[in-house]
Amino acid sequence: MGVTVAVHSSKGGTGKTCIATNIAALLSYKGYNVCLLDMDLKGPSLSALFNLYPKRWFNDYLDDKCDIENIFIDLSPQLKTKGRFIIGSSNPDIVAVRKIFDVNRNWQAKALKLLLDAKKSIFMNGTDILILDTGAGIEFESVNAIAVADLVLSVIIPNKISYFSTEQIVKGVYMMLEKKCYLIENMSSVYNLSENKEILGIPVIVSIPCICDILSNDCTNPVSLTNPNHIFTQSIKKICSTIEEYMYDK
Amino acid sequence: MRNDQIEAMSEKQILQEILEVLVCIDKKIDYMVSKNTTIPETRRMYRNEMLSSGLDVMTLLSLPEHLRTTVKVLFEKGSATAEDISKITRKERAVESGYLNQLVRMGYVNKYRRGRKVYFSITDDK
Ligand SMILES: Nc1ncnc2c1ncn2[C@@H]1O[C@H](COP(=O)(O)OP(=O)(O)OP(=O)(O)O)[C@@H](O)[C@H]1O
Ligand SMILES: Nc1ncnc2c1ncn2[C@@H]1O[C@H](COP(=O)(O)OP(=O)(O)OP(=O)(O)O)[C@@H](O)[C@H]1O
Ligand SMILES: [Mg+2]
Ligand SMILES: [Mg+2]
Repeated sequence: MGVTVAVHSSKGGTGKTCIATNIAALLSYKGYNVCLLDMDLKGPSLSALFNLYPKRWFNDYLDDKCDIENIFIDLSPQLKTKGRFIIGSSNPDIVAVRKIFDVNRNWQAKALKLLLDAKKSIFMNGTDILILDTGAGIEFESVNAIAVADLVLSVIIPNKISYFSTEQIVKGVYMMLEKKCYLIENMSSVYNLSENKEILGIPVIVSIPCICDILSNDCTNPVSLTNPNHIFTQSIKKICSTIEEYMYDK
Repeated sequence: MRNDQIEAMSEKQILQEILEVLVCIDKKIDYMVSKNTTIPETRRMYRNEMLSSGLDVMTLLSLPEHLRTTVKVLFEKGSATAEDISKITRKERAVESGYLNQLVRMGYVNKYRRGRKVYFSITDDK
């Protein structure tokens, strides 16, 4: 069975989607079959980012209207990656997003089971690495993603609010679910690839500086593929190595 | 048991005593469930409100640690016997069996028989 990685953060706008997307792109470039799934049903990003309009959304799968395999669009021909790079998008339409706010606990319990089934099917169809782009904070969708993940990458930005809220989530969610987790410090004032740093007792894989050309990058062509020497790409490479190490240890 | 007897016991002994009583109660309830004896009211409530729903992740986070650990292993395994789970949690089989049956009564876990073995699962499929 392959490995499932959830990219999460305690607060919004920390760079989860940007990092998840680039990790997925780089790993598929290296030859892994990668599946990137938009678990941020209350604030979907991947459809807009990659201009994807699939016949079936991840929402349809959770509503029992289709199989998980029906939602994926394969970007490997377009991005010319060696491995397969499939993306499952959540529906960004306001009606669909509002609907997520109306579902009850039972629906979320069933969503968790469906997510476990989806994982099985995704790995059976040849995916090596499943990457879950989650919404920020403690939402049902995010915690469901964390619950089914093998590895949690939590993105932290260097300010008091982020540290404080990450600490709550580390203790109250990651530890409770006994997840292997790493921090990624993003929008940092320093660039640090090598130093063994820990925050809140959790290893920091990398500190990525604030880089203005990342902010405006539309990601249709992820930086990690177009610009291999970019500081951001170097940081993504380090994160990918950590995932690979985890895979081989498993 | 008399008060003076209890006072003479260590905390560990008291816990052991409680555990034995609980395992005994558990066995009786299982016996009743297998014989389809109706346990009035409470059972009906669980059936209507919980059995169909299963376990959501926020409830999972609020479970006491011992039950959470059991559920987590069950999530990883899909379905398992009490013995399978006890090997991973390194607890006694009877203890895990107790936890699992408690989770069944709470409506979070399904229980079914395959051959001579009793399996537990989070999902409905057998
Ligand atoms: N113009 C700016 N330039 C650089 N950094 C900024 C700027 N504006 C805000 N920030 C920083 O960005 C970070 C996020 O800001 P803030 O917490 O206010 O966002 P928010 O929208 O309230 O996030 P959330 O949705 O999680 O509540 C903070 O560290 C803040 O100091
Ligand atoms: N190191 C960085 N330097 C500058 N900009 C960055 C950096 N990392 C990410 N960004 C930019 O910050 C913005 C927010 O990033 P992104 O959408 O990935 O955050 P998010 O955590 O997924 O947000 P949300 O919580 O809303 O899902 C994007 O425009 C992204 O390109
Ligand atoms: Mg705020
Ligand atoms: Mg995002």
